[in-house]
Amino acid sequence: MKYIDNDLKNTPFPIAPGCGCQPHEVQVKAVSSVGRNIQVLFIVSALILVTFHPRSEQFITFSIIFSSIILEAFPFMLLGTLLGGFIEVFLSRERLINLLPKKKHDAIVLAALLGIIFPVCECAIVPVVRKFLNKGMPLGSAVAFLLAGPIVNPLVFASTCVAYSFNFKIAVLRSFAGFFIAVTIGLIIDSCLSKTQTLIETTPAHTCSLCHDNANLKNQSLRKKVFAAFQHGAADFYDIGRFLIIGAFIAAALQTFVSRQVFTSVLTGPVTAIVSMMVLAVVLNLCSEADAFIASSFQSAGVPFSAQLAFLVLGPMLDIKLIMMYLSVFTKKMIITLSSLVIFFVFFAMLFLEVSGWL
Amino acid sequence: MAVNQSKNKIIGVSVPLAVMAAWVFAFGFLIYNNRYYLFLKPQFGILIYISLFICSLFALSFLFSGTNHHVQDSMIKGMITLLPIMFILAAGDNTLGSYALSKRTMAAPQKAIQMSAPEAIKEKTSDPLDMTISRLTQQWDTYKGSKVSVEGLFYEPVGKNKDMAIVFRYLITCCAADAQPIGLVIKKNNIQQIKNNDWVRITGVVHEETIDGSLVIFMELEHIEKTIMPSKNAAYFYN
Repeated sequence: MKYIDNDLKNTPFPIAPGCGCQPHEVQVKAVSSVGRNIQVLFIVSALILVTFHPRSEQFITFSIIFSSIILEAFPFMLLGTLLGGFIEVFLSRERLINLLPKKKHDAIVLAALLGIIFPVCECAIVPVVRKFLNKGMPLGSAVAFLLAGPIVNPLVFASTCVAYSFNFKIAVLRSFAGFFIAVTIGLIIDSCLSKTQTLIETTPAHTCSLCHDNANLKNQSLRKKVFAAFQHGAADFYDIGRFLIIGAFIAAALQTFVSRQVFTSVLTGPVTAIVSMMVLAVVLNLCSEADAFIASSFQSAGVPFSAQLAFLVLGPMLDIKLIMMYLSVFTKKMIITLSSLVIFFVFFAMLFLEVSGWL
Repeated sequence: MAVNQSKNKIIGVSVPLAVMAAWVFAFGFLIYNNRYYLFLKPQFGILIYISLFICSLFALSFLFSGTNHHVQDSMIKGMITLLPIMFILAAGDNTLGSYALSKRTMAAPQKAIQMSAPEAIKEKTSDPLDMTISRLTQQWDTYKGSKVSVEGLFYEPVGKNKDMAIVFRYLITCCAADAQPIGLVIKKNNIQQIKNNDWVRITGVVHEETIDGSLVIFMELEHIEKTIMPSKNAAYFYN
């Protein structure tokens, strides 16, 4: 215990020991009445739509796109929440602290590179980050991992190479841009904001009896620990799945009813092209493993590489379903700050690449 | 008070359990007859199986533990989590059609990759080459100027290009949300009794044209006939 205390003193991030769970008498904080009303309104509208809408082609198209986004994202989210459950039970705060470098900057850089050995897409990463934050991961490191993870991962690198006919320059630039932007934003957030300002109050949405006492947890059998991990995962999925669904619903509506030509019609100069492609990335909500194929299709329309890269870097960091999912972790203030920083850095990084002639 | 607590406990267990059980059935429904092909590329089947497995585990864990959610919140979360299942059912056995094409831009023809020279020469024969739109688009420089026969969905654009028609399918990388239309443009002179989303086979010589600033494959149409839909997911090619 003394060793742990020393470790906690050495780290620049004040982290209390323990597993992160509250006693299970504590009820989950009720959703605010405004939030609840919005969600009820959403349910009623969707039910009316699905029940009474004539089976027109528009409706069928919407249903297919909405279902596709969900079916593509759900497996990763289920895996993410399950992984989060295992992190909750098997990775103690003390162990997490031992794994992270003691220097704040090193911890952020390492977290941004975690995606290389921990290849999770953007749908799976949110529940994992939520667990890491509950475990005491420093905010800046969590943000760096959240933003860079879905870009620097090897699967995304490979799919980008294939989409661009093995033009490695695009894939390398995408990884580097994602990494540097994530590290920069991680450092800024870490210096300017505290966890109390940025994280929503969460209490466990389950009745796990194992996690509230580390001594108790350590003495339990592996079977019980695994079951506790499932309990955590299930509760997390039930708690945050709705954010993905609402985000996917909005994204599907935009994909169905707004023509892509609206965006491509303004792709004249580099600045408007970068802005348009950034808006498109937010609207389309594509998986980071598929988005390169869409971005590369804009080559024939004469879209500058900087704008294509803006699409590839911004999409995995910020889109409608991600913004909704961030609501399960961050306060609105943090989401606005994070979104603004991401948009700012992606835009200026791409503008710099365009002006410098590196592309 | 005790009654309320008991009621809350029952809801805390039964609602999440019912939601996860519904998803287990939904994934089973998608696996049956490979229905998920209508939404995802076939290689992603493994993800559907994994999801079914994890949902079953989560359902079991809810059965034995329940949640501490506020009752109303639990109901709301459950309802929202169930919504996609309703839309999966509402989509039925349909695929994306001409409406989705009208909102997307068609992929440009690409240069051939990894095509051996003898094979490329063999393809340039005088008889129409029976092929897929996917192959024609992805190995365009091999087939440029050839007489080909392809099958796809029919679409008549409205607006300034209303003397044209498009025969198309979709290329899917991951899911239908990223589906990219690929196809050929034809002049629709003397084409009657063919409606949007009808399956057609077209034959003619193909070359490139620039229409509205975009490079497209254009076919000098020699023959067009209505055909039956080859399979329920025939509108999709998977990348």
